[in-house]
Amino acid sequence: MSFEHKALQLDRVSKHYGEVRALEDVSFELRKGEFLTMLGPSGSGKTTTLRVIAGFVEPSSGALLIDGRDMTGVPPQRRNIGMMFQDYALFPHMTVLENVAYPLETRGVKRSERESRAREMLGIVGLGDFAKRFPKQMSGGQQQRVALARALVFHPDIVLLDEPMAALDKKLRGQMQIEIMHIARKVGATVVSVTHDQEEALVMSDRIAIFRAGKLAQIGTPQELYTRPNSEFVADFIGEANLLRGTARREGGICRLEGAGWRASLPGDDPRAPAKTAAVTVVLRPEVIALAAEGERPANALTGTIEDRIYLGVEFRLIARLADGSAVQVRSRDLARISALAQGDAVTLCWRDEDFVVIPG
Amino acid sequence: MTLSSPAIPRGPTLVERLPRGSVLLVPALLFLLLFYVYPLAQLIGASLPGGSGKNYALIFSRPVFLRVIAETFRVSLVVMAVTVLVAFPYAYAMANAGRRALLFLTIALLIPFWVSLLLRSFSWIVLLQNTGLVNQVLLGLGLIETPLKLIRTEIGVILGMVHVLLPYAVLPLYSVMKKIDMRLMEASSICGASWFHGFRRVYLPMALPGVLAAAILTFTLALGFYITPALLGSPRDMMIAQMIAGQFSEQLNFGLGAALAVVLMGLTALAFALFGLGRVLLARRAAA
Repeated sequence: MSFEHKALQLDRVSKHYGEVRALEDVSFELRKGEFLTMLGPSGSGKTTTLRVIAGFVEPSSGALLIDGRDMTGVPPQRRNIGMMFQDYALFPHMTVLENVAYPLETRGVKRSERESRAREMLGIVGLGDFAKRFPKQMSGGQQQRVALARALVFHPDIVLLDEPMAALDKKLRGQMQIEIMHIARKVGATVVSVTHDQEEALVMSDRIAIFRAGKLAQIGTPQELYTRPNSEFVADFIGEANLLRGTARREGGICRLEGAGWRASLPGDDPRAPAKTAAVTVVLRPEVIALAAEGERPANALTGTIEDRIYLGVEFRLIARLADGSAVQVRSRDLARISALAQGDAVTLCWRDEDFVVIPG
Repeated sequence: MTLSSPAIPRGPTLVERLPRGSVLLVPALLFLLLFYVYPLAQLIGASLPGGSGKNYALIFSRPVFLRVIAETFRVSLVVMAVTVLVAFPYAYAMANAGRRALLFLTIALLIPFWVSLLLRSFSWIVLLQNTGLVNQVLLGLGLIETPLKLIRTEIGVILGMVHVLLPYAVLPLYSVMKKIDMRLMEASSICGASWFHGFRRVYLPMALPGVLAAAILTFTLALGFYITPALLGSPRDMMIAQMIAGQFSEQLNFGLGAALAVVLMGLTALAFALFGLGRVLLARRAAA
């Protein structure tokens, strides 16, 4: 065992409500200062995981460690966790200053010190002049900053954000995403956030954990999830993805992948290449696909007919129909050549060896 | 000024300015005037025979009257405190109960409420008398040697009154409590607060309007109680309503009875005003 404790460890955490398995064998670790976002559709287990970390939900099995300490049976008030609730849960009868000072009050910090620390934190979130106001006298964005200040003021080991942007209008979201990330970095907080908005996850997180049906589907940096999804679900959830179905088989030193209207090949020692003949799905991002040059016969290619061509200013969106009827989306800046294409034209599209992902099945 | 200048528009008449549908209030207003305001005026008139205030002078100079008034207030305050204390956890349970538990708690609260007051007071006599259920159980368990004197005492009066008044305290408390977002208590605990700390600093201040409403209702209702103290109390526990009844039905001193009734009404109004002031201050603090 290493001496460096992880800020947070979940080890095979499960939560069952009778027959309903809300959470199944979820394991991951968090470094100090890391920003993790749990992403997934509603009911996927991300909120349950957040509530398990907070201590509002006791797991049916598995272990939860904060800074190396086992949290079994430790109530929320003794976990040293800060939390920002979805609609902020500010205390309506207390001033902004009293709200932010509350976690210090419960820790027995004397009045003068807790007020000066609360004021300092209000300054950090940009609300230095609002100490004497009541929450309902403030806008949604300001209330969110108060909630953030309350969650950070006592230097918690972990900060939990429950759908932090859900109650804000769209314009404010982008701004607060960056701001919350900066404030969290400034105070060195370890953050676990929950959202169902993939853009928010991509903007704010060091790593993203994708949940599906109570299980952790994949965890990794935004780039890892985008370029190396381990399942169709993850590929589809983060960004746009074309899924090509076919089979892989070994032929001498190389692995050939083939389906209706497409083919690709990988060197035999490529980690993506299946060891033997198997059904596969190839994931292709729309922006890695290009029009093949005239007369060229690329190794990775698909042929189809143009179904639609949409001009989007900086790029074209091209929709091609394959022989088996499935559609492929392409985003291309090759404006000159695409302008020359018409609906119904046959096209050959290609992509580079390193730009595709192979998923079994 | 020429004749062609536009005429100054005539403002709406008083009737036109009334909100639409006001006419529907007329039956209720007539009823109140006829059966409430008019008799009240008669009562006040009766308390001042020939315009003299001698009845009031009598009330405020005789210790017996002052003692009964003070006793009425004391008992009402105790009853108010006990009722609110008992109602608070009950309303809390209702506000946080599931649907079935809520139904059960509501029925348990309201069924006695539908039974006649007289019947409930007699039931307490049956329960509390020396050979009643409570004493028999305590004797049977060997907890006491001789029967406790529960009836014809202040304890009996308070028990009976609290029982009658409980729904009046539970319902306003419940209506406030069910609007309290319990996630605020989660927020309090994640902020490091024990349950008790959160209750004191977060839940109780938010439930306070309900507590005040419950207190004002039970207190003002308790001030006018008649049947319960008459059946469960001793003559020493007499409350002002019994004294008023006595003046009317036994002494046939209508003037003094009327004056006592006016005093009761005035003191009740005073209590109302004090509670109202408390609520205003509370609301002002919340909106400051």
